[in-house]
Order: sequence, then C-alpha cells, then structure tokens
Amino acid sequence: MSALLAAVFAAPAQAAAPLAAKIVDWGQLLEVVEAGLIAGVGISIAFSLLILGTVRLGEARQQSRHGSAFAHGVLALVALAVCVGAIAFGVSTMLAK
Amino acid sequence: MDNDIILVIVVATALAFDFTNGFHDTANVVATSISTRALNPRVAVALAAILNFVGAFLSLEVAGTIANNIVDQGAVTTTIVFAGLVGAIVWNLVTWYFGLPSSSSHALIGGVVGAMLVAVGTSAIHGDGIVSKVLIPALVAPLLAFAAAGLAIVCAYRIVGKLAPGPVSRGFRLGQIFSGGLLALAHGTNDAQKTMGIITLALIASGHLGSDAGVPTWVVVSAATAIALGTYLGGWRIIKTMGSRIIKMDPAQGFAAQGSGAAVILAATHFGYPLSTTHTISGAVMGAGAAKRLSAVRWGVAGNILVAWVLTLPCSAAVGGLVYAITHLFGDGAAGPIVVAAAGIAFVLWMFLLRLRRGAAITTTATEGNA
Repeated sequence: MSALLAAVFAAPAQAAAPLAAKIVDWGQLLEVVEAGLIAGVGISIAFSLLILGTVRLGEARQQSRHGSAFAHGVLALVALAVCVGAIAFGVSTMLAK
Repeated sequence: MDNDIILVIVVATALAFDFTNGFHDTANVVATSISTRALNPRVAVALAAILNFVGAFLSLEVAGTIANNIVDQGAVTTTIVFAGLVGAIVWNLVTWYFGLPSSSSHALIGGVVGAMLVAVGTSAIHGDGIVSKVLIPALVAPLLAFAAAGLAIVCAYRIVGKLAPGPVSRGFRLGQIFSGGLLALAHGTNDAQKTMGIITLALIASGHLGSDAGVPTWVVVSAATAIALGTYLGGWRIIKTMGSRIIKMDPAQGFAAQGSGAAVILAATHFGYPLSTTHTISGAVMGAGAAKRLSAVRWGVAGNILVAWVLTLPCSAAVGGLVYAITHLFGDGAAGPIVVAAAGIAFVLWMFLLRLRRGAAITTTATEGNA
C-alpha cells in the first residue's frame, strides 16, 4: 500500500520537477534575490552612515576634536559616494532596458 | 472604415488605461514621502508626475512581455486588445474604489488573457510565460522587498540609534526625495511603456504599422502625458492606505521602504527580471513596519491587499472575456466597441460620482493631515 502511495505521489512530483526547472530559471532567480537584498540593504546602510558621519562631524567640529572630525568626514564622503553611485547605477539600468 | 474606428477607440482606451495606471500607482511612489512629511502632498504628486513623464522617454524599447510571452502575438486582434484594456481599467477602478494597491500590469495581462481565451481558446495562451513572467515575480517581489526593507531598517536603527532624533529624521526625509524620485522614474519607464506597447500592437494588428516598426513619437508623447496626468491627479485613497493604513511610518522606515523598494526593482531589472512596483513597494512598507514591531503592521489591511493581488488576474480576465463576448455579439464591425466604450464611460463616471459622495473624507484627511 505504501509503495502504491509512494508511486502515486512520486509520479506527479517527478513530472513537476523538470517542468518547474524548465519554466523557472532558478539560477537567475537566485541572482535577483542576492542582488535585491544586497542593493536594498546596502543603500539604507550607506545612507545611515552618511547621516551618522555628518552628525558626528558637526559634533566633533563644535568640540574641536579634529581627529574624530576627519574620520567622520571621510565616512560621510565615502557613504555619499556610494549613494550617488547607487543612484547613477539605477538611472543607467533604466536607460539600458 | 470600421477598422479605423475600432483603432481610434482602442488608442483612446489604452490612453484611458494609462491614465488610471498613473492615477492608481501614484501611491507606490509618493505615499511614504507624504506620510513621513518628507514632502508636501501636492509637491510629492507633482514631482512624481514630472518624473513619470520623464521616465516614459528614458527607454523607448517596447515592453513586449504581453505580446511575446503571455499570448500568441499572431492571434491578437484590435478587439481583443480593446477587451483586455477594458478589463484592466474596470479592475483598476474597483481596487481604487476600495483603496487597495494592486498591480496595473497584472490587470492588463489578465484582461488580455481573458479576452484571448474567449476569442481563440487556450491554444493562444502561453502558460509557461504566465508562470515565469507573471506569477513567479508576483511571489518574489513582495517577499524580497519585505526581507530587504526589514533588514535595512534594522541596520539603519543600529547605525543612527544613538544620534539625536531631529537631524536623523531630517536626513532621512531628505533621502526620501531621492528614493521617491528613483521610484517615480522606474515606474515611468516600466508602466508607460506597457501602454506604448499595447498601442503599437494595435497599430500593427490593424495594418497601420509593419510588424518590425518602432514606437511612433506621437504614441510616446501621448502615453507619457496620460500617465503623468493620472499621476498628478493622484489616487488619494490608495495613498492613504499605503502611507498610513498599513503602518504608521517614521522617516527612517519611509526611506528604508522606498530605498530598498527602488533598489530591489532596479537590481531585478538589471538581471532582466521585471518586478511589479506595486508588489515591491507594498512588501517593502510591510517589511519596514514588521522589523520594528510585528504588531505595528495592520495585518487585516495587508490581508485585504493580498486578496486583491490574488484576485487581480482572474477578475480582470473575467471582465476582459466578458467584454470580448459582448463586443462580439455586435459582429466584427465598430458597433460592439462603440457600445462597450459608451457603457465603460458611464461606468467610470458612476464610480467617480459614487466615490466622491462617499469618499471625500479620505482625500481631505490625506491632504490636511500632512500639509
């Protein structure tokens, strides 16, 4: 009985697996998920670091902590470059469609 | 002569669909900017309209998904295109009436598939194309955006959590102008192109253009204008749902939702995997809310949105099929499209009047509450 059940359920499963593989490009889907997560999370991290760097830079300059001001200034600049690069990439992606 | 009349009706209906598309999907672009007060509502909607208009010109490659992957292009007639468009417009208006964000692209695909099923049968439908180009992206878009926005807001809170809230909120509000702008551009390039593709398809089907012809300039300009006008007039009911009925957002959540939504759409586009702006941004809004606190998301509203997504394809297909059947009752001439178009205009006016009588409060709340 169990062998019969196994055979009944195995047949559609075996038929469905190649069909799913044929219809859905799983490799491309995985690339999309990876790129979407990295880009989606990355842009928020970069912008948060830009805010952190800018706010801390202002505080450090008020308190004349030059080392801290320099470090946070560099952080803000790098984060700004990442954000501008992301926008440029987005626009170029739209143009390339 | 009949063919020309049908073509004029089809072009007018396609532009009407484009208008409802802009009207319906404005919320995707501007809702979070308005609810976090990053932008004044009128400014946000005007900016989205301008960027949608510009976006329509950025990329002139015809969106051929519907023509090439969903149905048999050789079997498409202007009457099928007309019936599909009416199906999409009706579903867009019904979801607008209830204030639910749903995909205009899915409505259009459903309408065309329904009309095609009634006109030709299942042989003209590409089932594998529907699964790979419509159903799988419909599942991937909201889940991916939910995860990305959820992770994004957790990271953002960790990074800026110890800073004074004032400058942080101002910073994220400023960021939302850019993230909202990117979303509006992406929407313009995606959705205006679908209408351009549909009008071009009708011109080819009626013999006014060769099968290898490009998109005529008047089609580009009229489609861009229709979507921008629709966007400017704005569907305030859906803006209200997206902006504050799913979750109450702070500027960091608004930026995380818009930024991750735009990034997910563009990253997917880069790999040739088009995702719905509606599904993506709705998933991102829920993700940004749920990551802060699960109970922050009004799951009842989220459930209604999910039901609307599931119903979009079958309902617009049913209307598309019904419209084709009714049109066909009048024969192959222009009488059918003329009668259906007249009935359609009456239905649109009735929906607007009904909504104006019942729903003015939502428009007022959205505007006053955030101005």
